[in-house]
Amino acid sequence: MLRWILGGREAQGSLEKSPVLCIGEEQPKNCFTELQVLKGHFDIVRFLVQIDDFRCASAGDDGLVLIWNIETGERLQELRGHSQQITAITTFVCRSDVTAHPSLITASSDRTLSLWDPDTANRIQTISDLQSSVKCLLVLERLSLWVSGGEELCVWNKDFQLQCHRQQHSDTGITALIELPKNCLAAAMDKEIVIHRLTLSTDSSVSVSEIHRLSEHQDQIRALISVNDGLFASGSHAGELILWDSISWTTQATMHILWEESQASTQTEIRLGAQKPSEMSIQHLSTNGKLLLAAVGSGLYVYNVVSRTVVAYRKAAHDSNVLHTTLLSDSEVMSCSEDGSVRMWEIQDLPLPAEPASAGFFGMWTFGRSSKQSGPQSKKVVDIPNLRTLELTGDLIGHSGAVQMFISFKEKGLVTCSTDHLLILWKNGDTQSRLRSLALFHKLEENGGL
Amino acid sequence: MIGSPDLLPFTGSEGFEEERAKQEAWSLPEEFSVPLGPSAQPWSSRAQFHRDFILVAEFSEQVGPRPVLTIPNEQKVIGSFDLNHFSVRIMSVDYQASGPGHTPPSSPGPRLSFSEDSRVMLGDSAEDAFAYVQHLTLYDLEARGMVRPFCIAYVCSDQVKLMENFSELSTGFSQASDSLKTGNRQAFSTELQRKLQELEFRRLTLLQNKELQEVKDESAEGKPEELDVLEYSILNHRELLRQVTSYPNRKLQQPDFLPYDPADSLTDLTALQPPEPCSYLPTSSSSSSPSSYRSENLLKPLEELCNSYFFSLMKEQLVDTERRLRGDRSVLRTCHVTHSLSRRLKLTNFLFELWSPREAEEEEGERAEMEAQGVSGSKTEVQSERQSAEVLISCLEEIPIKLVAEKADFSAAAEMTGSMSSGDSIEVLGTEKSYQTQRVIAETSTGTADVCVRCAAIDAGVRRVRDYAKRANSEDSIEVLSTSESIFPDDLTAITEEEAEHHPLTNGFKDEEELANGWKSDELPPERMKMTWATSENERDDPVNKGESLGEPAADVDDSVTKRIKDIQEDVAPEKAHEPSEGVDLFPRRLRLFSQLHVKLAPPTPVAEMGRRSPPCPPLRLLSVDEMSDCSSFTGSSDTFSPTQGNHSSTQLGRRRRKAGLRALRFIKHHSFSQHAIFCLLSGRPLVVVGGDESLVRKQVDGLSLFLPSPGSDGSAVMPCLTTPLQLSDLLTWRLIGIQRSSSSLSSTILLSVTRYSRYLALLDLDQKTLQSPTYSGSLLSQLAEPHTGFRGGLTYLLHLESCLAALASKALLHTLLAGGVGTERDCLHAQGSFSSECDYRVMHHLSDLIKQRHAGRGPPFLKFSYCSVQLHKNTFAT
Repeated sequence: MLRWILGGREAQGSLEKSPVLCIGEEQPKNCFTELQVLKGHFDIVRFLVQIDDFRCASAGDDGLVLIWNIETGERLQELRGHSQQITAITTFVCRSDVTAHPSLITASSDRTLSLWDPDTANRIQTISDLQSSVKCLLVLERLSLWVSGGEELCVWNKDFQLQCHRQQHSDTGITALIELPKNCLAAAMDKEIVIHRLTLSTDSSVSVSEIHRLSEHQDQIRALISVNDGLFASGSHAGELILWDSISWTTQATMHILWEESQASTQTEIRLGAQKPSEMSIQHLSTNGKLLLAAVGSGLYVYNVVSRTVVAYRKAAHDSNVLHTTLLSDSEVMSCSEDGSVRMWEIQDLPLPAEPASAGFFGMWTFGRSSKQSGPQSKKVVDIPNLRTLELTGDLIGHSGAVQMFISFKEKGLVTCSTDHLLILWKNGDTQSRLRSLALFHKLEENGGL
Repeated sequence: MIGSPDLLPFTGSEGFEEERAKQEAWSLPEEFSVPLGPSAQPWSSRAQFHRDFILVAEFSEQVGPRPVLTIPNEQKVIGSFDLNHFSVRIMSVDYQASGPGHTPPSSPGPRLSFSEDSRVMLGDSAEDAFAYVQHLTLYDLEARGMVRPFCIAYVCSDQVKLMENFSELSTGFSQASDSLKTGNRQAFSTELQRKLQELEFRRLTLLQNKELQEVKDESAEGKPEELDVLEYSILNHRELLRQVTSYPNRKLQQPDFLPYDPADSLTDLTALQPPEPCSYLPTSSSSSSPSSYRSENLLKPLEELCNSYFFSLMKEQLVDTERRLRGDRSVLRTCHVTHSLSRRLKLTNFLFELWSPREAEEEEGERAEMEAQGVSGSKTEVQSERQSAEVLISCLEEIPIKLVAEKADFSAAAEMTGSMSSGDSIEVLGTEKSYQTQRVIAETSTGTADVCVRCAAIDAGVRRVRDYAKRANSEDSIEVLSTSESIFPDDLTAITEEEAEHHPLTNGFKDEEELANGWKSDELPPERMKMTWATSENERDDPVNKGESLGEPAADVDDSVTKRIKDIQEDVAPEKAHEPSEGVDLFPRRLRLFSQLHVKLAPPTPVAEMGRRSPPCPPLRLLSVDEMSDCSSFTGSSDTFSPTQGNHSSTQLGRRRRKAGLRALRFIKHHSFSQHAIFCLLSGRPLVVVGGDESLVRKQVDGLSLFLPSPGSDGSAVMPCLTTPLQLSDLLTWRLIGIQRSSSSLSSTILLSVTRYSRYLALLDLDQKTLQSPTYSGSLLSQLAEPHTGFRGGLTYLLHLESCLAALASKALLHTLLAGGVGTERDCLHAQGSFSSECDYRVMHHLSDLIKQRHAGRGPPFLKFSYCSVQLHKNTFAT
């Protein structure tokens, strides 16, 4: 196993044929020893949003938004109103003078946008005359504005009044939005990233203008993420991962992740042809400001944005495409996949540092823009310092369909949602047991004895 | 058991004395108590019957007292006991506590007296035959005074047992008697209506004859007199019908109802009806009626006096009472103590089913009462028990009776030659309140009025009666049944058409008179047939409407009854094929149905009266047909009793548990990996039992279910046979699952789904004799599941198991309470040294979690698991 990870060419051939990881039943590092099944949805659950420390909202293709208490697993509210699937959901904090009251903004295929109060399940605001359905939402808390993206880019204020909008001439429309410094927005549209600038005039009117287009990607952009104040990253369907400067919009690093398909037996140069696009599609990006975690096909790829080096990677992290990832800490990684499992990883040092690592796995990765034109040459990086490994520490099996997303509530647990219409709440059994003990004692005290 | 001297577990009388002394202990300090006299040998009895039984006897006006029914109806129970003789004895008590003679006749016409049952204790110490007897009267139009006296007796060889269980007996018998009387009132009112229609028809015929004769200018002297008699008779019957249908059922719903006062219902009668000379004898009219061909000697048997539904309900109730009181006093007492103790262990009693949660509801009232009085539960109970015992002693008497032996022979003959009209099937049980008199009659009259004038007239008459009845008791619930047997619409139309043709003819009446006089008792006059048919048809066709017009609670009951009946039919039907003993299987289901129904119908018994009795409770788990057959095959040895039977759980439950105990014992003895499997159940890891033979799987599941903590009130945590692919949420509801392995694709899908969740499961393969589960190592289960145990019987093992599980539950409670203290639970418990291994700790942890979740848990259920390695255990025992 280890040799395979290190990329010993001679060993790969046999091992690569069964890349499915099996950790077995003994998982001492897996603390999720209790589960609750949360039922309520009638269709695929696609989105999870954390509202506060103990509440989360789930939304999916049935148009329902359900609010859950993740401490008890109770369903708190049911937000009904959308007639079609929910396409985007985000939390929106209504700040008054003293309190910050969280609310939810949802967008649906029925071309409506709604603002909900999660405490009362009231639909506070609704906009129903949209020209197209909204695909992504971005809240600009600093400006008390929020932005919806689809075939057009609309800017709204907190009272759901349209401030300005801008038609986009693209087939796909805006698929992702991030906030950049200096009142700028980056919107992913097909193969381009479009930078917009919001101009706030003195009479509090807002205008939006396109100021730049980044066309480095060769394929559709699948993921767009803001890494830290100075950097953002984007990943494409073809496995291109580009790190951009947030202010100057220049490329800081370009990686073309090619999980090598042809193995030891055929050391030919036809790598691109042999690869199915989904095998290297960057489905999801996540970051903690220092590390960038990319879900590439069914594999995982960890990149250090500070040192501009690859930290660890694993081609066959799951049996199927990875849909969502999270960096729990600098060394802990969690991922979920279409294969119905959630896996927990630890970035560990290689136990045999002396052995030279090879880049044989992902065919080529280069720094700088120039290499892109030269194409995927088999330019092997012979020496990768500090390369570490992703070790599977545990997996959560429960869903019978693809796990779409998960949210970690730290020690309170983990919520996963899936195409099987269910949410599963994973918890630490020992902690829960203690909490139940306390609840029991509390109740006994209330009742005055046994 | 009492009569078998070979069962002598104690050689001396110490044990017995000790128990006695214990019983007496709380009444008098020992030094003050009079030493007991030399007690008679407790294990022998002069009783000629072998077991307690229930006897239903009748004081037949032809043959005198005679037995009608015994429960259980087995010769080996009754032995050589002379039922006839005993019937004579119990029926010769003055049971007419409130006979008709007590109230002055305030109104003319016949009167029915709805007397309360009288309850007495009788005894024959010479024969060791004691009985609790409840006398009741049923109505029969053809009987003398329209009254048939019956009694229900619990015959027992132990006088003290009767006294101790007086309240139980009294309640059980009252229920049965109520059912019987209710059914009887229905049957009686049906009979009255039938009779009334006959009379009306005859009257009309006479009137027409008279008219014809007047036309022909012939004067007939006898006719007016006959007409008068008929009219009296009609009035009397109407009055009777009114009385019987206006029987205040309403009072049953009120806990503090007053005994029935006939004067109440008579006030409106006198206002409405002109006073008439009261010189009416029902028997005379019945003897002069066309249907009086029935021999005087052959009165209806009990089955016909009561409609069959209520008759079977009554029988079920009696069977239930008999089962409940099986066993001797010590058995009953032990199980009562066990039950009451486990009931108070609120925190843990749900873990292993030592009691039925359903009873909690029943006993809540009692508890509340006790708390209100500020007396501890046990004390009140004891006191009430004592009081009732004292009362009983005072009413116990022995009555010497002369035996008339010759009459006995008649009874059998009389019973054999019953009339044949009992085949009517009951279609719909309506309520008086909702009974659709208006509607039915309207239909009938519109259907026939234009064809036949006389019909309309009769209908009008009937309607009057019905309206009358309806007004008098608009709120009463009721008992009118429609019967429909072999009535075909075609026949009816034929008849009406015929009549329509005949009507205009002046000489047509002759035929009709012939027809009228020639009626056989089993033929119905056409109008009546039509009406009956219309009634049943209407009710059958229009269930929704009926439901709406029913009183609200009654509607519920009705719906649920029909629904349940349907369920039963559906349940039973598919399993008939491979299950020959359907009758046996159907029985407990019906019992359950009845008892549930009864809970709804029964009046709330006054709390004090209820005492420590528990009502008929359905078994805790739904039993499949297959399981029931197992149980019934076990009845052969049902002469032994266990404390698990009796009061706190129905005998069915006890039997089922005993059977399950045997299976569990077999599992432990025959499988080397039994401890691992039981460990899985006790630590909350769902266990899946897979096998090719479905019945084997079910049996194994049944056996293992004994080890399943918190099985749920109705065994909801057990899935005897899974038929859909397993889902994760199933693992949260079922912790013991049976799967039949077959060649079908469904089966393979199910098995595939099982392997998907293999992490959370343990898999017991009955075919391969393997178990895939974590390995158990510890000491906690060694007593519980010792493969080389010396136990041989299911019952003894069950008792052992129950005590082990009870100990486990109390340990778990301790664990729960300690766990909240300082330091981690594990430290705490290891410090105690209570658990030697991680596995034991996990068992405790799971039980403790169950306790916590039950009492303080919120939200959906959770599944707790651990990531530990799973081994494949092979059976190393030779089987």
